[in-house]
Amino acid sequence: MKILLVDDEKKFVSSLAERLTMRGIDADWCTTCEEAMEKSASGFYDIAVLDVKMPHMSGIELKKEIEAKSPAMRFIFVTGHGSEESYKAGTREASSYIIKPFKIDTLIDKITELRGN
Amino acid sequence: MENALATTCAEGLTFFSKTNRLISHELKNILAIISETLGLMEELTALAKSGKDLAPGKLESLSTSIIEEVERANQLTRGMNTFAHTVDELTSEVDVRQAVESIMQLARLDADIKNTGVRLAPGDACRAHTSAFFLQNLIYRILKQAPAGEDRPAGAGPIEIAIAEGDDAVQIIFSNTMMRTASPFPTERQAFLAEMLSAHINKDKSANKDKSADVLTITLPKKPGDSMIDRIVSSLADNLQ
Repeated sequence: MKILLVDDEKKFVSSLAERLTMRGIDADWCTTCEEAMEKSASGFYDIAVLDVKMPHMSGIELKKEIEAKSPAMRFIFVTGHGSEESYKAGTREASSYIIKPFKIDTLIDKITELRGN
Repeated sequence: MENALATTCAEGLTFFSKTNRLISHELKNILAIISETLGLMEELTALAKSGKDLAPGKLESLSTSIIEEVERANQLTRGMNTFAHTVDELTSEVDVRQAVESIMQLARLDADIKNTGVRLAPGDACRAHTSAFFLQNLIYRILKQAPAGEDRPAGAGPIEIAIAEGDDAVQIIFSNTMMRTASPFPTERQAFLAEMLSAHINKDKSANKDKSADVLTITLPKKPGDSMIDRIVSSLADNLQ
């Protein structure tokens, strides 16, 4: 199981990756969509965890770009949107999302859920 | 006047709503960083207690990170508080430079504007009798209209803002906006906000090789005679009595 974490908040994404690694999950991270596309093109990841709002490109657009080249990859969105309701209303990509800040177990549950599917 | 009043209220609420969303989104990012960093500290401490070696300076670096995020949140809430006070008096003697700096700080929370970058040229304070709130609204709308992301030419650099003080007016000059010559400017809302402030806004029509008109200017009178905003304030006061 290999996870790619993408968020423009470096401190957030690096700490999260370290905590997942401590739990035996192979987690790689980057802070830009360009890096994410390069990483996903050159390496294999089972799941990408994407921030919805990033400079240059949104997480939703990034998902489409990665998915076109790696159709087996699964996605979890992370968002700082104010409320679950507004996020649900604002996007069709809401099947697997987490609102910031969250407990790491919530993310692990989502990963487990996707792996089960 | 009723139409102007309704548009003013709608415009004001929209702007307040937008800035609130930007701020709450940023605060959630800060909380997420603090939460992850504390979680990591807790887990590293537990490992150290069980006898595992901890890299020297690791905990110190993580606690420094938390202190930095608390300061970031402090700056943000200070900016939010300053912004909220702009409606205490809808018109007053405004330090235009401070108003521009304040809205730039908030505007940078927008992913597009953060990516494009905005820079204010150094200079002295200059004052005008105006509405800081609606002036900031107009500035935000201009920054937001500038092409961002893939629409912005590669290597274009940030939007530059300069403030020039004349005898009767203050000019806020936006350069390197990369605004297309074909882009409508001012938009209906920008024109309304300018009219409200008795300000003039214009776009330099001379196109460069990228077919973009780079320079946009707000000319803000220092002492507007009978501005729409003053009439609206009077009308609001009458309605509240």
